[in-house]
Amino acid sequence: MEYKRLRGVGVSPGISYGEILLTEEVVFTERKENIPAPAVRREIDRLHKAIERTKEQLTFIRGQVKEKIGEEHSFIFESHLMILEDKGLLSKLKDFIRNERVKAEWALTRVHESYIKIFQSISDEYFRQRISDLTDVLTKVYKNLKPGKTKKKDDGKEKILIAHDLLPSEAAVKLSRGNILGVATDMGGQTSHTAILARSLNIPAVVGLRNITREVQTGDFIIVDGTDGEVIINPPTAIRKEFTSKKKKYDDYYKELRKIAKLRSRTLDNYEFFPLANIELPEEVTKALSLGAEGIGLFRTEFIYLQNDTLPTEEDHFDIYSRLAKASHPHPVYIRTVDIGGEKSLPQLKIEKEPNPALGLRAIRLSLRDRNLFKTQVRAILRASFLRNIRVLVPMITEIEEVEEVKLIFKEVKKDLRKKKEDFDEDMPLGIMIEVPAAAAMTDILVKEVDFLSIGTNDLIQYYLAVDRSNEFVSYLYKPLHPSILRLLKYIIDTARKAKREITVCGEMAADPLSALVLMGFGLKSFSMNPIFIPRIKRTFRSVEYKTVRNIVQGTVGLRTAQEVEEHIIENILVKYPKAFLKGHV
Amino acid sequence: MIKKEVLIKNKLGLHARAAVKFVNLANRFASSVKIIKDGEEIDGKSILGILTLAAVQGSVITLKILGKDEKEAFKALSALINDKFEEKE
Repeated sequence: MEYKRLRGVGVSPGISYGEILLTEEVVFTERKENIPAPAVRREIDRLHKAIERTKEQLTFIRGQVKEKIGEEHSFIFESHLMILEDKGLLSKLKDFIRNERVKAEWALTRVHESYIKIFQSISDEYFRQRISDLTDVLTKVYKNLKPGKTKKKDDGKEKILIAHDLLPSEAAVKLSRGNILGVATDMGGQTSHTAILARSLNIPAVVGLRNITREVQTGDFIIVDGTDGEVIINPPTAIRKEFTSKKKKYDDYYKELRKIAKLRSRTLDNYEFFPLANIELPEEVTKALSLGAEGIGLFRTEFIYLQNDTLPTEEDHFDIYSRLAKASHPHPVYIRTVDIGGEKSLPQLKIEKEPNPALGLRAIRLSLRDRNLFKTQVRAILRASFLRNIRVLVPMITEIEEVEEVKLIFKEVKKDLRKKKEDFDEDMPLGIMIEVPAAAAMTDILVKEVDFLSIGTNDLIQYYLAVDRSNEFVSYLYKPLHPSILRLLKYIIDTARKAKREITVCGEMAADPLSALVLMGFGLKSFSMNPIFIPRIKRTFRSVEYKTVRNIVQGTVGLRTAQEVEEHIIENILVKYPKAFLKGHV
Repeated sequence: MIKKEVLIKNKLGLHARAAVKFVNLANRFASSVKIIKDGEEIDGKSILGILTLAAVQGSVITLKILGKDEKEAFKALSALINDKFEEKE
């Protein structure tokens, strides 16, 4: 049992340890077992029963995945069921048992090998890899030849899941079973489906480990540190102890967060604020609410377009939005129409390579070019509004003509839905993102056209300061507290409030205690952020008085630099509320 | 018997999703459905058979259909292929 440490990307914080569960378990036999002629019928019968059992399991999983993750991912089980009914495969298996007089196990092994040969000779990569589907199905049949034995092995102990990569459907099934304590994979990144699922289910995960599947074997003990992105194989006692206490610290901290989440969202002087969550999967709702979110302030829809090689259908959209609406009800959900283009391009959309993608065909600009694509999404959003808790948010608005066009499209789609007697929210609120400086400057005009505004501070700051914050040569200029930004934000918030429209901020400023205090001082009430930061912001807000914060923030008017602003706020806040910026270790 | 060539036009070719649709449709007819590509003949009602054909976009396959509802079967199956398996591209 060799001790080893591997580094990867921590995508879901927390620490867990246990025995490993390798997904790519090879179960096929090496042993040829002969049977007497009269036993052939019984053996074929055994095979049939195993196949039937597998079908039942697949049908059951398909139903569960459909319900929990959505129609799109249940497809894989459709094709697996069809493989189980493949006449060619079945007759090959039966013939093999009959002609060779062998056990079904051996027949499965050899027939599988014969298919591997056929698929290996295919030159096209996609088709060659379809052997994995057959392997998957035959492995399940194999296990079902002796069902009792495998059952114990599968749902008994809690384990750490190790895999090369997880298909979305696979991840869904395995992680939602409840016995997976941690996840470590060779492939994947921060935004992979596995990562998002693990985060929403609070399962520590490290991905991108490259070759963990080759480094471990069944029986190994492993520690997954999702906070620091490390995996430790067969740790000696001293290291185990170290991580046991690290785990306790994190678990206590998380418990503390959950406690704060339950407290009221009020400042010391009883001023109400609303923490909201930025998410991208319906599965994340439960966790967001448990961390204190009082609604979903930003539901990103790009994910729906990235799941497949083909474009999503209206049903794909509807399936996700309706589950989102139900999971969040009665809390509101702000669905942002697709923000693709720019650097987040998609092959299916055939967008030309642009010299300057940040200033190019993206978000609403793309939606207004590919109207049918946009209408598909709009129809699905409207249909999902049957619980009356959905609001729609349009990104990257530059000028009022775009708002008018969007409204026209909504009118058209609504008319069509009315004709078809679909139940939807006739008064579904429509809002726009303020992230282009031109739109910010026109807030007074734009705000009259819509029901609410949402400031996307990340892009707004980049565009306003003309700074790409991922460019190391100029990123030092990216300063959310720059006086120019504060003037702009104050103008937007004041204008929205004067027009009696709701306004939220959904950029990173909402999650940073210092910036969030400034926004509160300007009169902002709704703060949308990655749900993990909600308890921290709540703690800060709950330890101050709104009136004082407002006065302190007003004192920043006339300051010359971002640094002066920062110092002014920290000093004045800390004098009165020494606990305002206490940090946890997120 | 009907024996005619059809061009695979959709971007992904006869991939898993398309193959599932094809087999489901073929199973609705009593006629036998064979697909021939590059001299190789497979059962059109077998998903594994179709996958091993590796019919990518632009390949020409021959549908060989035999049975009492062969006309309807050919019409439906060629329509599915020409319709690019109802995929949006």
